[in-house]
Amino acid sequence: MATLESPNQLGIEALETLFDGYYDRIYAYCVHRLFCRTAAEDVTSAIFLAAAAGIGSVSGNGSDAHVRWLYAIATNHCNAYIRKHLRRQKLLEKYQQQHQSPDNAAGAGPDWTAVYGAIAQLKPTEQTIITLRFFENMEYDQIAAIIKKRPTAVRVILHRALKKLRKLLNAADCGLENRGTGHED
Amino acid sequence: MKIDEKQFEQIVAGLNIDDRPNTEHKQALRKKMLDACKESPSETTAIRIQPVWSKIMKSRAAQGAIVTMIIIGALIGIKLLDGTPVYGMSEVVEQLRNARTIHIYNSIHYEKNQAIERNEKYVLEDWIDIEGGRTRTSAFGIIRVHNRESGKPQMIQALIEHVFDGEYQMQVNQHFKSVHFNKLSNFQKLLHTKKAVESFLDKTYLSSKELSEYVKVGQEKIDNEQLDIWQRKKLFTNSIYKTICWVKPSTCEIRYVKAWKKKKDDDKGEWKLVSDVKIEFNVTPPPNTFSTEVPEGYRHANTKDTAYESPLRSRQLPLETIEGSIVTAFTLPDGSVIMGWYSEDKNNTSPDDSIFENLEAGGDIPKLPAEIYSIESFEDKETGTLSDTIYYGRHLAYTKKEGRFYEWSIYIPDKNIVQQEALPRYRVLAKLNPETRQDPNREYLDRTVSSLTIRPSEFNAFVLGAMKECSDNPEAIENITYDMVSELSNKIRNSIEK
Repeated sequence: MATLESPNQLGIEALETLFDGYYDRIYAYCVHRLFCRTAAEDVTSAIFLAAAAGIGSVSGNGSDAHVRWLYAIATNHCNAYIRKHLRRQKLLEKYQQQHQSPDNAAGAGPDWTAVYGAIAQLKPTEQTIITLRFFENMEYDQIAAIIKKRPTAVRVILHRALKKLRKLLNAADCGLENRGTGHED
Repeated sequence: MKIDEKQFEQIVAGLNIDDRPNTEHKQALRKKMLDACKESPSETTAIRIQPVWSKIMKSRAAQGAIVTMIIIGALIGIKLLDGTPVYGMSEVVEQLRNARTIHIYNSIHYEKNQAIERNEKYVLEDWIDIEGGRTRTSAFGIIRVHNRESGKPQMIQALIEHVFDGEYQMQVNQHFKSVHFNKLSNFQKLLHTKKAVESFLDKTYLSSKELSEYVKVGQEKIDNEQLDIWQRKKLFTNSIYKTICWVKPSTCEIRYVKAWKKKKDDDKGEWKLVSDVKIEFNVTPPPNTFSTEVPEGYRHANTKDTAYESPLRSRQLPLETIEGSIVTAFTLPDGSVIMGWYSEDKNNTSPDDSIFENLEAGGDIPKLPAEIYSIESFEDKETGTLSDTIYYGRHLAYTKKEGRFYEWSIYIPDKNIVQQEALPRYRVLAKLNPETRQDPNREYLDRTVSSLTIRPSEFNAFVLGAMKECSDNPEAIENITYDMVSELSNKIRNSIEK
């Protein structure tokens, strides 16, 4: 990936570089957050169009600043989508009797459904941290920069989120007992 | 059992998630993004009408939530010791709505941007002939043109005028020296004039919602007239807006409206003028004000004889094989919204009439290809924040014109709302019914639509007028009355509460 020296040097060429380098990752991040490929495509589009509109305003030097900035946009868009989707799901449920569960267009097995179902019950910030940490394999300081919190705060939130997940996944009875270490934390 | 980080990593590693991107989407998005970037850093559409108002609104939208405001009895009126007639800003606005004609001088201050090289000031003249149903309005639009010398797109600012003579609407592009005609029906004429007045009030910070925020702060003599000064300050995240209206107390006629803004927390900062409007009441317009004769030397895309009579239509709902549109929307004083719309499957050439059989007012909305099952209102339209209100959609009536069925639905809020906005906007939530859904993952689509708030006395003219506009048989909807709809709303709201 080309080095993005400074915000002022960012133009169309740099935007192309950012897109080519990060489209796949941002799309995957959206799939992990939203559990739906169609939704992920819609949100990915919104993210990059927002990036195109605001790339000149990003502060900080180097490519890292722009990647953090891109993930921050992605996180905001995913959280907004989830909020809207939940609300609309509620409206739909009220309106029609039949409940439509989140689609499983990714063709994943039941484990992914259960894991996503559990993650979806966490707070948006917890969802964000879980996804960035385990699906996008980011370090604490990278996550902290994206969600604008301290790395120690990220650790604490992650710890709590994992505790919640344990309960939720146990409740979902998805066979995790066999993977446990045999003691409670 | 303990799920620590390592264990969760293993769980994730064992998941079979298909997160490979769709190449077509990627390529299409890449092109769209770069096109948007090439066209303009901030504008993504080729032509965008951008009067000073929308610019201000846009700016306000970016500034976040309302923090504070003085709410003093602007609505209830102020009784003065010197015997000056008692009135409030609501009377001032009513006077404006009831005028025969309104003449507006609008000074626009544009800052240097991609389309203009330096700060500019323009004075535009608008006319609204309320009595005669004619209008003449102007606005600046940002237009993208191809620069032959540089070979690159260039943004320019062009004056676009709309002249409506009561039958034909002529759009004049002063940059390209070209005109285009539309023909409006009698009902559209009524709607057009009403919206012109309400839109003017909205843009001039005189919407019903804002009136309670004005407070009288003094008097001033201008052109030998003693005028009351009403002031409103509005605090946003980054800026403060100040609006001042000068009103003639004896007649409640508003003479001037000015608006300024300055940065928040900048006590020494200067107030920057963003709007400067002079208003005249009941002045007879000069001859030819509403003339729709093509100016000499102007190209015309069509003529009055070939002008297309536009059907009543507000917002399209196209998706996959679905053709549809929102016809119009009206908000009632209790917050209920009546919306006319249609939705057809392009693959199905013979619409299924049975869908509309046995429908009852207050019953379910018919299962059309795209079904508008609910709407969402904006808590703060400036920031785009949605409210928590849930609207329940019910069938109200249907009409049929030239083979097309129009559904008229009513959306009832789950709580009592006193609608104060004249032109409230909603997000329309349309569910795609399975038989027309090519993409199984796409459940709904959303659109934003504007509506017009009407009074009970205006129900027949606007709601029934719109229904008749979309009907070959106007008698079919004669049973729809304001009282009937109001009763239905209450009944549904009560059942929701229970």
